[in-house]
Amino acid sequence: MRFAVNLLERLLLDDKCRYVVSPATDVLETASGYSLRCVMPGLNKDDIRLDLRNNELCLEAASQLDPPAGMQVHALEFCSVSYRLRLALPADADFKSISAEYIDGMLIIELPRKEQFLGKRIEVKS
Amino acid sequence: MHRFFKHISGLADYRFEREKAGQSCISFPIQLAEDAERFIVRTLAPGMKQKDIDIVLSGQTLTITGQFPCRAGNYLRQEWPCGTFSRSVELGCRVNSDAVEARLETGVLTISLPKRAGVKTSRVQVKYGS
Repeated sequence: MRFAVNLLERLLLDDKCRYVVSPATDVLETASGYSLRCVMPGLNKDDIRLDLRNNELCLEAASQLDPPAGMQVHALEFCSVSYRLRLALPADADFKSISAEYIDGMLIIELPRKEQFLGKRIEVKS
Repeated sequence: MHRFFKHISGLADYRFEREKAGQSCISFPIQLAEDAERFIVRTLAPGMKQKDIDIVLSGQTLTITGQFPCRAGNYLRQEWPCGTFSRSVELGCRVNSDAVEARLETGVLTISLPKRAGVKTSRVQVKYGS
């Protein structure tokens, strides 16, 4: 049992002994493209690492939400965690125009849709 | 391990609370800490602005209510609910309501509640034997 708990903790903990969780994420389809909203309160903007690799969005961040030091804690329903998320992006998204902003504890990622090519008339030269 | 499950349940409790309450409101996860002078209550309020949050102190009960607005568009995946969040906390002793301070920063609401003068915490010595 102890071995199983150790193994599970190794899989679930990051190098600073914070539990690794996936942030709650909303994906919205809008008229211009896609909007992603990752719920990650208690972060510094500089602690968020967002990479785009092979049409996949990779997110890593760590929150600082430990209870105040030196106080007696009566309820502890959340704590510092390490966020990790890998999300496959839709094929019609324009990856070059991706933008991200951290506002009020949420990471908002805007992903416009590629302009659809509807065809054009080709001029014939003589 | 216990801390992990606490965190997960804290973030996911809203679903159960919403089911229990017939979709009326969602519960905030909290941290409650105390020292000799004050209580500190912290809650997660991501995506909320100052105007969306209402804090009421009634006797020894602190009630936090917040509104998380829904966004226009077609949701392909929704893991965070929109609607009314609410949570009441029993503090256990009276606080100085004039000196209560609340700060909202990066989606974390921190409320500092100084204890009323005269309220002292005392340690009780446990005696052993007869």
